[in-house]
Amino acid sequence: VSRCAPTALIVLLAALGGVAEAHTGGSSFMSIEQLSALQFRMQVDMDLRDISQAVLLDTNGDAMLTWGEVLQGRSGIEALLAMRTAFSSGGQPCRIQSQESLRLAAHGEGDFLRITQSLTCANADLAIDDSRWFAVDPLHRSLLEYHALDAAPSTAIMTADTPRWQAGSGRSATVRRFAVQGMHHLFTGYDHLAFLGVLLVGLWRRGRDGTRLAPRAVLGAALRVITAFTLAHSLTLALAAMNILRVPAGPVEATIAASVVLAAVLNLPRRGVGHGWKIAFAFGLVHGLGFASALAELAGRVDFLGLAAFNVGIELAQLSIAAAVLPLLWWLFRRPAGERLGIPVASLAIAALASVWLFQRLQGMGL
Amino acid sequence: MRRWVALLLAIGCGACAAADVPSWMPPSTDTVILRLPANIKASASRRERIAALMDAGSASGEEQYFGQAESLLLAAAEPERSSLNLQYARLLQHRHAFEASLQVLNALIAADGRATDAILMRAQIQLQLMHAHEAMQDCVAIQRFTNFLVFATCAAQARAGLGDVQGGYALVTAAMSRGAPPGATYSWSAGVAAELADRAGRAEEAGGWYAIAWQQDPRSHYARMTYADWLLAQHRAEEAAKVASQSAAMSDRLRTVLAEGRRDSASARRLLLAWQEAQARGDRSYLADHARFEWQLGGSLGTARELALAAFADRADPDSARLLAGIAAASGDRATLQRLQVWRQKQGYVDSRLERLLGAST
Repeated sequence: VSRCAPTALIVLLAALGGVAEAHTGGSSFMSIEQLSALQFRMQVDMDLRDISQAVLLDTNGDAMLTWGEVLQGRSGIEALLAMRTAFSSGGQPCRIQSQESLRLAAHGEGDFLRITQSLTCANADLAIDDSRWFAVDPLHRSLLEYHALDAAPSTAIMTADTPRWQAGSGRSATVRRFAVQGMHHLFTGYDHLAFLGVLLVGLWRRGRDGTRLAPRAVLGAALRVITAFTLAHSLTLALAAMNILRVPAGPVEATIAASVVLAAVLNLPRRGVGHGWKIAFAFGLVHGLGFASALAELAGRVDFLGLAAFNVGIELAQLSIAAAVLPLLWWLFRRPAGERLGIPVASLAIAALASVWLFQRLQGMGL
Repeated sequence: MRRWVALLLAIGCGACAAADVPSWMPPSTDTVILRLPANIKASASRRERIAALMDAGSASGEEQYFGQAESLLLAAAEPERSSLNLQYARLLQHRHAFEASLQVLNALIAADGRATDAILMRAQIQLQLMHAHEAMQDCVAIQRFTNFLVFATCAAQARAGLGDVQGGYALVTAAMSRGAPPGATYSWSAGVAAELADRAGRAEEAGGWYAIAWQQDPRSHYARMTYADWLLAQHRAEEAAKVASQSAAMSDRLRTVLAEGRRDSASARRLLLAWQEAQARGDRSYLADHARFEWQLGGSLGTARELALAAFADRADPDSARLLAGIAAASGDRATLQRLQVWRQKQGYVDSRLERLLGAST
């Protein structure tokens, strides 16, 4: 390197300055709608900057890409798409039946070229292989939205690490997915668990006459509580999922926390009439709205099958918790001393915790 | 973390999918729909194509060109691949893979102790890592092999990194006053002079240097961006818009929107959509820009703060720190200001702009 000649690197340093930015690869957006068992409508939005690296579009070499040049290069663009994105089902490639006019799609980073095609496949288990995109550009990202006939829309991001996608195998996959999500939501929804727990604890209180229920009767009461809670939250969950009932999430979440506090406080008098199933039903209506928010976050819109599966997941989780907790409570409260001390301590602890949630949620609402 | 997840859910990406984005058809076949980088020829060699793509990325600010350059480079087989190592190190540096870049450069320098480009690049990485002593060693090492302005600019950066911002500024401006051919090197030196003047609290002088850096290399995305930022800071929105509007890169579009001062304009909405799409594909490089948008265009300070905190967590560098400090000062968030003060002191980073903002915490 000559002492006086500025190095070639300076050109880049001057361009970058002292600051570098994380760079990204190209991206494409794909939306696939299942029209019938074997028919699909596919829409791909591709970045013209990516296309122009692979297909000679700027035929006059003036560095200005016109719409006419894009239309002229259509066959090359479609060949590029066919080469980089493979659609198949049951191991057989899907057939392109028809093509619509090219358009431009107004994405955030710029106008992408929109290609719309109809596909006919051997069966409904559509598979997409984008591997060749990533062979050319390992930083590429494909965003996929899939609208199956019998399930809620699903989305996926295809990357160099996950270059292939396979549609769920119909109804059974939908049922499994939503049921698992329903169980997951209950197991990780501490407020719902606390509400259920405090109701189950309350079942061991003595009646006004000072007698306590036999374990078998407690089991019956627990079933009534769970059934009432289930009926109530299923009702509001369904109404909210069908957009018939709309309540903002903030007040719902705050009321759920308040329901836990109230149910816990009602456990404190040493003797009293059983209130479990009535409270369970009344507040179950509000908890259902909370479940609906979770379901909306999960799937946006949801069909009847997804809704039912989500609900079944919640019930399964509830029953498994009751099955685990009831014997434990029986063991804890089997002696009068355990019952005298245990019920108020457990109820107060849950009430205190729920009060914190209530305070935080009210704060979150700006109150 | 939970708050961040909640924020992401709140922002959502309702219009990311292809189906939800509006489409249109140009009115005529003559309608220009994209400006391509002029110098990328399909017939060029791999090295030339990589260089052209990186140049296009540097000029346009469109990060995708760097992605394409990297893809092209990674596809090369040996021995061609080894001959592209300097470019590879540069790409790694550009996407903040500093350790990986240093490994490549160390190997290059071990093989050739006079590899000026590699040593200079290593100095720049050490500066980004805030290892000013190591950077100074590299700057001194190239003194014998390059011209005085390059050495002085490098040394000025390292000196500022060691805490002597005024000294660094004096060094680079003295070197520039000796006279140097106009062009990219002079633009780089002027950009460094501008940054050091800004850090030294000489905003007016900084503005002059930013303007020179941009005039000397009008294609430079960095020079354009920093000059537009300075103009915005001086409330010269109209001039800032003129400078930023010369490119369609996301960062330039942000500055154009900031200059317009409206969060409901079509270009502002498009920017928000771009960030939503980036979020959907798992790209977090937009967080700082989005935070600035929310903060400076009357959005939610809470959202701006969450985004800036996330950006700082991803990349704890002076730019992220200044942004977060500005938002924390505006929202009276003393805890964050104190945290930044600790970070600044630990790094030994001297910057009057940051110190002024952090003054709110004491």
